[in-house]
Amino acid sequence: MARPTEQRTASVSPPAVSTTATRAFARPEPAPARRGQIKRRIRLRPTRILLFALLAILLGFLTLGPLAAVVIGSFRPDGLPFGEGWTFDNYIEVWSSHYSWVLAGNTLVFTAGSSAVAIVIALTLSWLIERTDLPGRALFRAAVLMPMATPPLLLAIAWALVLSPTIGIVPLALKPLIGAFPSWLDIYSLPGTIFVQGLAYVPTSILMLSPAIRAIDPSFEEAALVARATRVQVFFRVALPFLTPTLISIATILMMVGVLAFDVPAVIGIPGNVPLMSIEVFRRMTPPSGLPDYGGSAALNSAVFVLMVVGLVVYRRVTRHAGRYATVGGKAYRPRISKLGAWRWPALGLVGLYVAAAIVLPFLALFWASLIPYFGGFDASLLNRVSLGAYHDILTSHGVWTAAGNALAIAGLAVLALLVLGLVTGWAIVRAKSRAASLLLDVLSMIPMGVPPLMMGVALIFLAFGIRIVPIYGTIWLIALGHFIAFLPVSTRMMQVGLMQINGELEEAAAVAGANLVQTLLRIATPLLRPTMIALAIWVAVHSIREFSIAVMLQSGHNSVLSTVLYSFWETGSSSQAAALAVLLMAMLCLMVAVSAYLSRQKD
Amino acid sequence: MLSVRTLHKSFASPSDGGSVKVLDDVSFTVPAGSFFTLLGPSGCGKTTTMRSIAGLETPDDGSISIGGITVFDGARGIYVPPNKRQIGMVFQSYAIWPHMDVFDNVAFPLKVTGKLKSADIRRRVERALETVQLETLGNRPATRLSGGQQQRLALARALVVEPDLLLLDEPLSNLDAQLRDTMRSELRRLQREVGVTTIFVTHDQTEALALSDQIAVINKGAIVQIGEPQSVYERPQSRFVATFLGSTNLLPATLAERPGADGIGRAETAHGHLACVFAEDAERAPSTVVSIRPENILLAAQPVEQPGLNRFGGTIHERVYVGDSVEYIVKVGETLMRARGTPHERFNEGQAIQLHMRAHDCLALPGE
Repeated sequence: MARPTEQRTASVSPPAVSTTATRAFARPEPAPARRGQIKRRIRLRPTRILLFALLAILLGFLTLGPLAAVVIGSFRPDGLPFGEGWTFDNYIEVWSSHYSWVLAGNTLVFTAGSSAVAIVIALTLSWLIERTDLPGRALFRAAVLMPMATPPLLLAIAWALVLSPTIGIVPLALKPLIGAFPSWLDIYSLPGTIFVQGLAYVPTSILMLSPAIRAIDPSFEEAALVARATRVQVFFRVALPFLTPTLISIATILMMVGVLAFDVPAVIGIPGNVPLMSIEVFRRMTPPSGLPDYGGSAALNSAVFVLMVVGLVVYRRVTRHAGRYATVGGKAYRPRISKLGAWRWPALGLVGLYVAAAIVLPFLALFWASLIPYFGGFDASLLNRVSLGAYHDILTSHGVWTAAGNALAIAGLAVLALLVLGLVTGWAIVRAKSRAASLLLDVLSMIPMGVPPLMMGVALIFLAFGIRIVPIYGTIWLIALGHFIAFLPVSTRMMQVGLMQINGELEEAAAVAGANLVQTLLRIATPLLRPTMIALAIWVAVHSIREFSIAVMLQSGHNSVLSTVLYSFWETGSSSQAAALAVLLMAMLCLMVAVSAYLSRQKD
Repeated sequence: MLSVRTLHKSFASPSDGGSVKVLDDVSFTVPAGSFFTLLGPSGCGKTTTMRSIAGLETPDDGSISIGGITVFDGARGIYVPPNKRQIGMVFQSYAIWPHMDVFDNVAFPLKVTGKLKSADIRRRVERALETVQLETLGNRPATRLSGGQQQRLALARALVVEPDLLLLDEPLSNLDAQLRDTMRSELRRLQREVGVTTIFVTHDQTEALALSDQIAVINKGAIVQIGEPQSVYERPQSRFVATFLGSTNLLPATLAERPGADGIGRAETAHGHLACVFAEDAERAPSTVVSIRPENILLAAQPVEQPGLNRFGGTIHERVYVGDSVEYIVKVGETLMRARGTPHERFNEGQAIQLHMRAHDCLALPGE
């Protein structure tokens, strides 16, 4: 009954007359008021300045520290930041080799390709789910996020089981029919890595796109429709421009994360001999014999660093103007649902295809692999050899239980730390009165977004070697620190977005009512941000548990986690144990994602 | 020009599982070139009616035709999408596309049809911008416009296609008071000049009275009265219309004498007989109320003797000075009545007073 029309306000809003007045009230002139009020006014500003200064120092240490370690290390003869002497040899050694340039080119194709795959799929899916009468959209809204429970590592293993030319289910099944399997369908190739990596990025892209699609005031599209535009024109000329900033920022993030993504390359790229930068960095850091090539990998990473700076600049430029389109004030629009008509069945097929490729097929493949002693496609003759032996192996393995405990402890630490620091940093960035302070904190908190996990691992090794007073190397604390830094940008961003949807006047009203900074944060911002905080906690927990690249770099001694244990099973040929562990991991992550989807469900 | 026939629409009510009628048998016709207003409180269905005309919403039943072409017919399953109806619309939020400049916003409806040369488009956009006096702002980003300019731009965008029908969804409600007055007369001038048939949705009676050729008052999804502004204001046919438009005094009454040849009958109130006119349904209604607008009550210290003039005695209960007039609350027996006086003649609180009302200004209405 309450039509959106009745509650709309102009997005290109008439100038807010009251803003200046409200600001003035928030910081009143010293009038002959009660003592407490005057005291509060004097205390307010130093608290803020101190908070900003502390935040800047903390963020600087967390985000610039690792980067500095890598960059300085690349100019040291021994490759370590606290070594002696200076040299360009590392760069000369790396970039005089033709192979490095092949690596760079391939990596570029890999990154751009997988981002494109992810964005095209994500845009199609989220539009169908948010804005059309797709049958079962409420169900699919939850289902398309479930693949978050299929980390890239598992997805890669599963697709290897499906498409590997020698042991894959599909090639072996097709062999009697078409003979040799066409080489272009071989998963162990650059297109294969691009496909799987792209598929792995889809849930994150949807998570970023869906809110943007929902936030478009439907009257913009209705106005275009009334202005004679066809539905296709409305999409491309009105809706898409509104989504462009979001799409560009997704692309930027995916490119920055992807440039040294290691999980998919580790499983598919290494056996497929696909030359990729991340594989090369890993090889140099973990040679089969002798000392790691710290200098070389630092020099390779420094090249990525240049790319990262470019990416961050693009990302900031795009997102800075995003506010222009945003409707602030917590307006919930009833989205305009278009009727698909006869297209609803093809559309349903498309969404179903994705769910199959991203979760059903991987799960079935892994489940099948976990039941048979060695993997060789799907064959009826294997049915009588089915056993739960692999699960027994895993559940009685002391190593696996230790790894599970480690993974949970690391996730818990990361969640706690990020809730606090994400809120404070996000708040400081959004509500800062000084543009410079806001910019500084924003840039500092965004830096890890440009530091690929693998590089973060390398950097933390350098740091842990350098600062030996804190014996953190080889412990779960170092991995937790890595996750904390790596997930800081997303956490800060999520908090910023949440805070931007809360009208600043709500907090100003609290200030006028006599609340101090901490009270305002705890009593006004935190309760209003509850949905954001729950979503953030689950996001961090899921991503920490499935994280592989940082953990594998920092693995040493007793700090192995589930993902690294799983990879070592797979790498050493224990495919049933790897698959069994993968199935259990998937079930656990699925549960967490389902809880998250339930808590943040949209009421239709 | 526009004909709306027996529109029905209901939404499932989430609270009790029943359904809420949003449109209940809505019918009206609008002649070409006239300014037709849908007036009613928020949530009454006026916006739903307009969105149904635009094709942004689909009624459950009924039919709509624009310029002789049926664009919706529930029974025959006809539905013409908004982009195929010859309409222009101004949204409450204006819906100015922020990623286009002023020129592109207006040019959009011409460009999407893909049939016009760019020189023609330029000419027509410039003409539309001139009409709304925005010709100097063509290159300005749409986000850099004031509220009034956004409204003009939205109008230009709606008018550039020379639509058969112009739909205005509360276009003045986002403006501040002074600008609203200016834009109101501007809107009227424009509509007269262009001559386009216009449907205007508002909850503001002043806007409705000042702008319209015809007003349809809507309540709870149904049209309760249609007429020219003066007749709707002066001869409301129901209690709802009498109280929704302007303010009025309502006195419970019973029929004492049926109207004679002059149309004047008598009603019995707690304070004595009142000579008054009767609304259509009032004679047959089980109970009636007599509506007397405050500005139609003449206050005087001494009784004025004149045939056909009703008179009550009372005391001044409260006096409120509002600048251009003085509002009095007068106690008549146990009833409080509002009356309006001129600033020149002052009565004091507690003073005995005589209230005079012409029979033609007293209107007996159905009690419920």
